[in-house]
Amino acid sequence: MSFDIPDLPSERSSYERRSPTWSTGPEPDGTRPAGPRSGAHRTLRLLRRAYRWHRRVATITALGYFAAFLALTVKAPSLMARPGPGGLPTGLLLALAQIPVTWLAVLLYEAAAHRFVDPLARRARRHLRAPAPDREQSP
Amino acid sequence: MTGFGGSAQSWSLVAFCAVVALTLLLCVLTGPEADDLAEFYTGYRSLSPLRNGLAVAGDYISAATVLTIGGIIALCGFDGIVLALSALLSLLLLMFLLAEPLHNTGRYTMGDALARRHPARSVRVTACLVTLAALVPMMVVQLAGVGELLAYVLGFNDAGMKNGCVAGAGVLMISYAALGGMPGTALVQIIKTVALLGSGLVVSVLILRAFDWQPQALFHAAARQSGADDAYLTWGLQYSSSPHPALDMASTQCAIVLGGACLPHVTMRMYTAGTPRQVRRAMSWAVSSVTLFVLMLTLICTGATALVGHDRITAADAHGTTAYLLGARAAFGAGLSRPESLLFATVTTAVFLTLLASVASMTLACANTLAHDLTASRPVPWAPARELALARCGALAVGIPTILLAVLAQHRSLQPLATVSFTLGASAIAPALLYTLFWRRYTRTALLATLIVGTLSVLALAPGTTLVSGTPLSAFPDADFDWFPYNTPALVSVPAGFLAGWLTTVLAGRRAADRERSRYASHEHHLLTGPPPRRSP
Repeated sequence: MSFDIPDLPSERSSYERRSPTWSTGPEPDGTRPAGPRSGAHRTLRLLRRAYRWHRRVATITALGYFAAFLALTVKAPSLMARPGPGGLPTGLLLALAQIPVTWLAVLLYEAAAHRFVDPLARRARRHLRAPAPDREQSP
Repeated sequence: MTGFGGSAQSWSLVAFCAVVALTLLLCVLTGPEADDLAEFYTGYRSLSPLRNGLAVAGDYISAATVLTIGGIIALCGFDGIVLALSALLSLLLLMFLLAEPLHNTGRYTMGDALARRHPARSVRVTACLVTLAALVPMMVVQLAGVGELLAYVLGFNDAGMKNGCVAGAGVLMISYAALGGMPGTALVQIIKTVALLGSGLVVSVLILRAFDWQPQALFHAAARQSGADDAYLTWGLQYSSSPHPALDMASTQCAIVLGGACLPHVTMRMYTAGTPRQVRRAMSWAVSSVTLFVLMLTLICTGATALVGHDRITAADAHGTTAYLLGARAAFGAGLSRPESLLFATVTTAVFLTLLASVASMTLACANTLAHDLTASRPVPWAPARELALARCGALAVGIPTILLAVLAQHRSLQPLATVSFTLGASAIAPALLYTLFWRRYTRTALLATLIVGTLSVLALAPGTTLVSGTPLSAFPDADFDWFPYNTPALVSVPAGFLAGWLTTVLAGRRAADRERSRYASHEHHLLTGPPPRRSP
């Protein structure tokens, strides 16, 4: 195939990488927090916030670009019909540009998730492993 | 009728038979044990991200995408390209918004994802009915396409033969789904995606070579040959007969962006990955593959118009559904040498496999929901072997009526049926999933209201749209009962679905909201961190 996703650091190696300070939290790795719930709750709250920002930014960017493109197409047809480079209409070029932009968006999304969400998710899962893992009735 | 030479036809026939035999064999070999539910439904969540991603891409690139959107690109240019892009955006949004939460909350079906917060029989039964209502029209589209495609490629014109082809393909898809389960259909999807992307890449390169590697020359030639000149490269050709072209375009895009990737046969693949991180990686592969495919579809179908011309495309099929094949054939030049025949046979086989594989996945999604959602809320769960047998019977029970409907529908325009599926996804499934996963106050009654109002509004409005009657390209060109003058019902049904959920929740009062909030909080860690990883046995 003509494309590939460059190798992001694997899950294991990111343990060695320096995580953002807010994701590692105040207590050093490996020690249980003093309160019975505070550490787990704090991690969950941070994870929720990280997920929320991650999702919002990605979705609003993608939807916003497409909505702006559609609005321009319908409301400013003369602008979109103006010839751009190569003699093709600007609208068509903007449409075709979405193809490389999508690849870029996927790469950025993966990288951001790897940096900001995964360390927190791992920590939250470690906290939750301490009580018995609950799973809806297993077959 | 067909413009393909004799050698291309015989190679295609050989390739079709080989593909059918091979995929069926693989399905039987990879199929689950007789009492292994987890393997039948999810393949133990053990697919690697790349393979899972290719399977998601395979599920997502249905025959409706290749043939219908390909036809619109060939005939209407810019409008078709924007449709293909909105389909791509839909999958991208699935990756950004829903993929990981769905993986974390769902187990086998969409009903599982919804019922985790609202465990009730009514939720599961409604989810099952909505799944069937969304997928059966799509399956009819794909199956009815098989008859036309085989008739076109193999060069016969007999109605009985076409019906035979539809029935044969239908039996095949039931076998894939019933014998192979999730691992089997995933394998068929992977083979199909690789075949489709590989052959498409070769054809795209050939088309670009025919225009001296200058894409702008390709687009200008297509505009000249389309009979519409510059209008081909700008907005509006597809909606030229509509009284409100801008609204029509907006509602069509809205239906595809919201509905395309929410359909249960795509979302069920979210449950087959092991960890949230693997889901994300799988979706990266899927989005990348579909992006490549959209690029190739654009090149091949514009190439069809540039090389073959608008008139010959509409002569072969009024909706241009054969444009992808015509473009591929034209890319090889006038005469076909033996390697070229073989390559062209790969293209036709990839399209044939696309038709078969997408129907198989949809059948599996329907069978899963019939077996799992209807029995999951029993006080005493069924034995795995019994539920598995029920799933296999479910494939049969959904498959046979679908085959009959496809035989009846195959000579009509199939666009309205595909539109019903997408719009149902956008009006009922998308709001239900979004609210359930992200809105704390969302109540069970509101969930039911979203699903029911969204579905009913689509089913009520769809017969009145212009795709069903009133224009020469409608499904019933002679009749005229188009009281809703748009291509899709999405303009009303999508807001109806979202509003029904919102209003019912808001009107439920403060106590219900508090109850739902605390229930959401108790499930939140699951939503965020997912199930514990499973060891494959």
